[in-house]
Amino acid sequence: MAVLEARNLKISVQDKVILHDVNVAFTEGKRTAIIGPNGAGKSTLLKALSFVNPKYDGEVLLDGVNIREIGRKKISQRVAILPQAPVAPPDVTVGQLVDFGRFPYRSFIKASDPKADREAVEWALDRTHLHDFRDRRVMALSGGERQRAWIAMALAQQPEILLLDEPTTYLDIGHQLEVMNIVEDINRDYKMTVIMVLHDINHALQYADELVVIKNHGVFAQGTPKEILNVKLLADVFGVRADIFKNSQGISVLSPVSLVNRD
Amino acid sequence: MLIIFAVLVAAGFFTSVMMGSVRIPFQEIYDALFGAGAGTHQQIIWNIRLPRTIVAALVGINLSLSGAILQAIMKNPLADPHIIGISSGAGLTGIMVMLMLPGHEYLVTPAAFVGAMAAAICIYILAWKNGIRPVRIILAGVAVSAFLGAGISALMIFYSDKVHGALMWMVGGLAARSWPHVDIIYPYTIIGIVLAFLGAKHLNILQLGDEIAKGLGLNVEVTRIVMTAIAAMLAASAVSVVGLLGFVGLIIPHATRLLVGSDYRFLLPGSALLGAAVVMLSDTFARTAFAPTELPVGILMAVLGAPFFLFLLRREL
Repeated sequence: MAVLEARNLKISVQDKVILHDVNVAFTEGKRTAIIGPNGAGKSTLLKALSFVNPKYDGEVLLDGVNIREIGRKKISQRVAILPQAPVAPPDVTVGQLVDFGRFPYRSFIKASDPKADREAVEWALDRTHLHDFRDRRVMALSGGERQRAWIAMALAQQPEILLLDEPTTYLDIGHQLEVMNIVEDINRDYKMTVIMVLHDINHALQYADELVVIKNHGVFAQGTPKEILNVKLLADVFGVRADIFKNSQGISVLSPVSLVNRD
Repeated sequence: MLIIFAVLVAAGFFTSVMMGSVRIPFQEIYDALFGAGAGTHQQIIWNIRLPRTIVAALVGINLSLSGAILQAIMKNPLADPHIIGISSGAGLTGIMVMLMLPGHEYLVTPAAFVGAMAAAICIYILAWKNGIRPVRIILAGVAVSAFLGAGISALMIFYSDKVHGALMWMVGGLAARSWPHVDIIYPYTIIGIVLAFLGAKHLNILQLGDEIAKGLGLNVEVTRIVMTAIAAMLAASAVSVVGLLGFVGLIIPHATRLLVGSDYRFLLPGSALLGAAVVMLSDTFARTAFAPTELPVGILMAVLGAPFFLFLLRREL
């Protein structure tokens, strides 16, 4: 069942076409990775799917309903997005940041529900192992802790769908796995749909149920890693000749060997 | 911290009423304010000192709030209604009404608001290219400010016979400000405070950047326009009363940010209190330090503010 779907999506920025004829559906409760070369339009797709960028042609459907008809705050209660390298004011603490995730539930007129807010914040801190960091300043944390704090903010939105834009960039290999494990656990425990742009294809192989490959402003391939990820695809999409083999856990990993001579 | 600021406001208030060519003891001020006093001192307090002090406080509040709001919506630590030309816009249209439509003084503030808003929109249009960049806003603001300043100067030369105290007005001063000026500014201060405080939560979200703010369901464009209008209104009402008083909107929100943090639910009331206290005290100092010559408070603010601006420029950009 497709929980989020793009139909005939076309996005241009200053008369330059970034994406066109994009038709893609994301399955409920699954982890989907979007991969593709730099500048292919992966982040752009994520912004359209979350209505952060509403300047697109075509349709984005959330549970079959056009998101243009849903309203910004209502969307944010159901879809959370974490962009790349976000920046907070220097004195914002982890606790405050996570509390900002409750903004979609607050309004001018209606007072928010403090109990629900508190519970959501506690839950988000819990899931990201940040209870002891509540009073620490976000921008003073290490890269891995900071990324967890931003993920906690997105979780406090209590979304059905979590969109992540390269959540492991700038992190060392240990913190990368830590972040990916948090995402995996949330997806498993709460059936939260996760859609993430991933830089590292090995992460996609290890953590994604489904792949969407973007190339040349459109969807190049879509399916499970087993179905679509092979040597030919890597050569076609990234121009890389790679070996693919199984690791000790039986998960496919790839090791790039050389550039394919492009014509 | 806010309590300390409130104490500072009270101190500023009494100092300002007390100090001057005639020094009035605290007891007499108290008596005069609460109805029991009589004589010359009471006349001085009610007709001269008190209204001037109130105008100083309200101007301080308006400019500080305006600056604090602009810093959030322009994502720019250097934003200040004076520096980026919003005050000049208010000044130009305000002066136009003063000079060309004599007898319609009630139109000055609305006209100033229109000018301030137009200047703000100009700056956005000039600075907008794939989003807002702090440096571009400052540069666009400098250009807009210079352009509008030229208009103000030209008007003052053409109508030099009609402009009383033009020089005072250009640097921003509180000389001879009295009850009519209080009446001009206070409704805007009240409306501005209420609207700004209502928007505090939204400004907090906006500080996280446009993408995060949109992801949290904030209508970034509408928030920005509404908050710009509030900032412009606050600045315009201040300009209509004291002229082009600079740097208050820059220094105060920054000092407050250092002391209470960047949460706008505290930053806005903090800025308002500190702004009121600082302008009252600065004006008291400016009019008494070189007595009998009275210095416009704008000169003092510029002497303090320009180095502070350079300090921020080196630290933040």
